[in-house]
Amino acid sequence: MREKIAIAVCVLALVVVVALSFVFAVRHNPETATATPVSAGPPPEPAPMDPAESNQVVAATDPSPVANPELERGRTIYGQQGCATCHAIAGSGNPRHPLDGTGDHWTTEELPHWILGTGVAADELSTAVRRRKQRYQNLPPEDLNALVTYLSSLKEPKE
Amino acid sequence: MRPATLPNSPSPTATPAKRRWVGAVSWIAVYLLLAAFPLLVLLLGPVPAGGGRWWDFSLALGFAGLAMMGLQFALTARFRRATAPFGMDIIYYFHRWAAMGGIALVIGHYVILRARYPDALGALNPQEAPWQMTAGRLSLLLFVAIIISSLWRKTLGLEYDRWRLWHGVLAAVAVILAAAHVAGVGYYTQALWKRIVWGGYTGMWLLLLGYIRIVKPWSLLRHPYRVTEIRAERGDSWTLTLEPVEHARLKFRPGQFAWLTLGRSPFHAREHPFSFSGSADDPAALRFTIKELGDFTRTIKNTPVGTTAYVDGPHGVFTTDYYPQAPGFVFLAGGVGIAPIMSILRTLADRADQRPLHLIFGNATWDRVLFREELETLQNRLNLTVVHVLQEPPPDWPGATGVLSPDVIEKAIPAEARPGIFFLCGPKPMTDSVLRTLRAMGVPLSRIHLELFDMA
Repeated sequence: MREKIAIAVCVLALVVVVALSFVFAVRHNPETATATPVSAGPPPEPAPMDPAESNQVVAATDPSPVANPELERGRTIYGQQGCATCHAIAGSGNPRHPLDGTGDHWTTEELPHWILGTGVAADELSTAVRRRKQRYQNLPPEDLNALVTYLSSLKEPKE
Repeated sequence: MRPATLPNSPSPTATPAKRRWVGAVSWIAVYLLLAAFPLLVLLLGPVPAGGGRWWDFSLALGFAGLAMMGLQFALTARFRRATAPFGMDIIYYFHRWAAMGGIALVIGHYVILRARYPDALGALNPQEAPWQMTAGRLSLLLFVAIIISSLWRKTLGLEYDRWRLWHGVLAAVAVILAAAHVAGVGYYTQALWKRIVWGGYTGMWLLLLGYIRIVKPWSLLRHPYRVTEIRAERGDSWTLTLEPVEHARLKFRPGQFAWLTLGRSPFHAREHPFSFSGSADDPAALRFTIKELGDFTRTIKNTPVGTTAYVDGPHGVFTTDYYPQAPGFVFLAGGVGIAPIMSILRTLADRADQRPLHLIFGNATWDRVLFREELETLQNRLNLTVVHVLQEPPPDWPGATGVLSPDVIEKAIPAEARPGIFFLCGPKPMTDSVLRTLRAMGVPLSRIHLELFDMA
């Protein structure tokens, strides 16, 4: 019977924190259940983007039969380096920093800086993010180039 | 030990029941506030762009889960003020259920990400995965391991002392890993003030752990006791007498308990909770009456006289001292559950208290009735009626038989005793059934005190 008192308080605590979690989720995402444009707060990653619905296939995620081997290699490196733990492409991965449309917004000269957290990107990224990107400075140049090719193939989703 | 520190004396205006309610509600509010604290902080200030409702919901669950797990340290820190309105049994039940609630939140956090954002979790292999993700995974696994090893400790054959040591160590490591995971991911904690608040909040749990494992044992070390007598009692029980070494013995209220460390340094964290059985008004010694029930209690009889002991207490609210205005008291005990009630009876006798007292005492056989002879003599000093209930009575037994059934209790408690305060102590099946009986008799919960033995 006294155990029930403990259970009741425990359930009350769970209800409170789950309700607050729900409020938090709704407040951060007022309109939609999918990713919304990056506007303030977190470091602006390559490009502020519109919501990427998974059925709105971007160019790069639609492998053509005569795929560019360089682009394929870039895609592999994107996977191997765990880029999806911080970024999303076509709704897959961490929705916090979507990369769809990167190819529309950044040139192949600028993209390496965004990957490595140097040059034009250095001022835009937080220290923590720059530190995390430091490890990519060890990427062999051909891998970095392949990654740039892959990222520049990511276009805005078509309406 | 702090001999002078005792729970507040009852205020002359508020009734004890009312004070307990106010205390209980306030402490529950404090708990809720601390559990919700990280989420409230996240909701303040500029809101970063959303990552999708499921994404943010999942991350909020992670914060809430960590808060509830961190709060577990506070629940076991034995803060007298916070535990007093509830009693230690409710605190430990809550500790157990809150752990399951906390792990449910953490698992919810993980499962939502696993199901909806599998790529965001990255590689499982720690050599490839970002360190903060590995820290989060390890923390989750440790929390699960801690809960399994606690809920099924006996089934798994884990010895209590070793389990208790590892329970604390693993819990600290799991919370540190979870806090590192939050800091490493760092989405919501980028603003400097949020980093400071969050760092202070998690640092608080670690400070609490430092208090439990370092400050408290150190203060115990400065107030040692010595075992001066080990006396065999009926029913495989032993009374241990301790005398303070060059300091005043701690003060306690009759019916309270303490955590006892015997023959080891308090830093070993090998302590066990026992009720005082001696009079609170005996200035010289502390007495504990202990039944052989487990690994540790079986070794009590072999303790050499002169062994050093440490006593962390007093704890608990199972005491008649809060009821100076009560018309009388009714005690219901099973077996060694008589220990705290003996402390109460001996103290009331020392104080020449003449309020009517009723004791209903259940045992297996007449031979095993603890303090049988002393209860006889106490009836001369106190206004005390004792009803013995035996499961296996001798052939010519004139008294009640069986367990403390509703029939037996109804018969043993006269109408004039029913407005009194009830004290109930014994093994769980007994206290559960007696509690139901008392409720059925119309005794409100606010007039029933309960102490459990063998809570594990």
